[in-house]
Amino acid sequence: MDTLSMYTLVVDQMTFMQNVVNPIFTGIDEGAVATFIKNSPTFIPAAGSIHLLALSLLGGAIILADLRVLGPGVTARTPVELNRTMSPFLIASIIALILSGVVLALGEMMRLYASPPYWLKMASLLSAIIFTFAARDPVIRENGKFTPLAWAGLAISMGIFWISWINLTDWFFGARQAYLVFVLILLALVFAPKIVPAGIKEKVLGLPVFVSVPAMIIVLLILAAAIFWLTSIDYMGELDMNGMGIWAWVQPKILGMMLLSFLWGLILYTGIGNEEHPLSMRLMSAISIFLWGSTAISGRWIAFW
Amino acid sequence: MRDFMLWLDGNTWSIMLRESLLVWPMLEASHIMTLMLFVGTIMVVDLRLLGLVFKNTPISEVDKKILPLTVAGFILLVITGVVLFYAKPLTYYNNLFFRVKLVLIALAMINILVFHYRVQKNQDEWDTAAKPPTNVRIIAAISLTSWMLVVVFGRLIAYGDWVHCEKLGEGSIFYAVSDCPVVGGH
Repeated sequence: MDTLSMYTLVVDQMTFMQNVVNPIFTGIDEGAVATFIKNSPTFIPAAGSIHLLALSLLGGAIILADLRVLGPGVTARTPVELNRTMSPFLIASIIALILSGVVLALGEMMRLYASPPYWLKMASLLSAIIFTFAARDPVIRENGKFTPLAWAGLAISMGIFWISWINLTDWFFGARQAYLVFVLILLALVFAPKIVPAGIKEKVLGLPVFVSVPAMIIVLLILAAAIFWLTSIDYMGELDMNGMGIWAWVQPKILGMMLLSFLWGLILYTGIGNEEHPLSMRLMSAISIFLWGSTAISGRWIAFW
Repeated sequence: MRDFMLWLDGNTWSIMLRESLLVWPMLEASHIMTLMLFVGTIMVVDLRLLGLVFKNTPISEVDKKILPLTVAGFILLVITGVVLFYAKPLTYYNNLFFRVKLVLIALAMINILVFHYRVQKNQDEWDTAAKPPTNVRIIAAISLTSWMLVVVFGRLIAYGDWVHCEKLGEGSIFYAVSDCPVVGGH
């Protein structure tokens, strides 16, 4: 895409937001329901509590169903059985999240309209829902085999998330970096069985627990501190990485951050990972964790924007 | 105790933490994200003990595979929670919701001890039961309720203005419970 087409696209997006989305948000904000919620002292705190409880339940459902495929979990049950058991909890938590989220949004419509993290959260939520039910579920049910619906679900959800991510995040304050760190750790957990030499995992797990666990925690903490330091490369926009375009991706600190994040995931794999499931299934579970995690991260990010 | 909090509040590292544009949001976000790990997994363990999920899976299997994740989540929650407290000691110290949250955590921990040292002694007898005995289910119900209330009161901490010392009124029981200063205000 040349500069002129890109500029036209950005202007079109801004015009759409101002002419179509803004009047809708303003109308809702000035409506009776939003006014009632804003004037009530209890609705927002109650909705906030339910939102957090629903998020916890969603975390449990995703951890049980997806982390089981990548590593720790109830190995006495197959991923298909676990997915089936946790599905009602996942659906209930999504419904509770959306309903309580609507109440929370009604309390601050115009702030959310101007908040990039809010729009990224909405994009993450939409892509997570599409991905979970159209792509992940069929692939896990078919033990790693992709159906046409799964391909379509994967393409649509990834398109929605990554286009939104490119448009709505930047390099200031480590905003874009946080998602990159998350995705690289999960990718490492997926591909670790192909990368980590056979025997290393057995050696680590063969060590006494009082040696292996503290050692792993110390190594992971040191690496996490290094990753955190590297994310602050353009903390206050001093390098103008947003103006660098594609070159921002090859900045030494960004490359180092991505490399260390991947290494973090590989080390984590030697402690808690497994390789008993097909690569496709592992990838789908990692994407599921990523999309739901990103929805939660973006939600928290709203408070700081 | 309040004098210690005042001293802590003026500590250089405490000030740096609460004024940090990157560390403070990252800590708070980590605290919330870890909640998904801790409360999410403990909910599943409690639901199994209540006989509502994984009915055909032995409780010991659920314990063995899920509890390490729960413990890891709890450790991370405590670490991030302590650092968050250290960054804003006065904000939290007099906050009634924060105090209720701590009491609920203490109750939940006592409940875990009772389960571990009393109820779990004869686990072999009900390990594979789809619906465990009443005393086990009571412990699970207490655990589930208390951790859910911990989440709710944790959220309410942000609405500390409701129970601010100035609003509680000197002489009231809540004023004393919040250890508000003798002459009102934080």
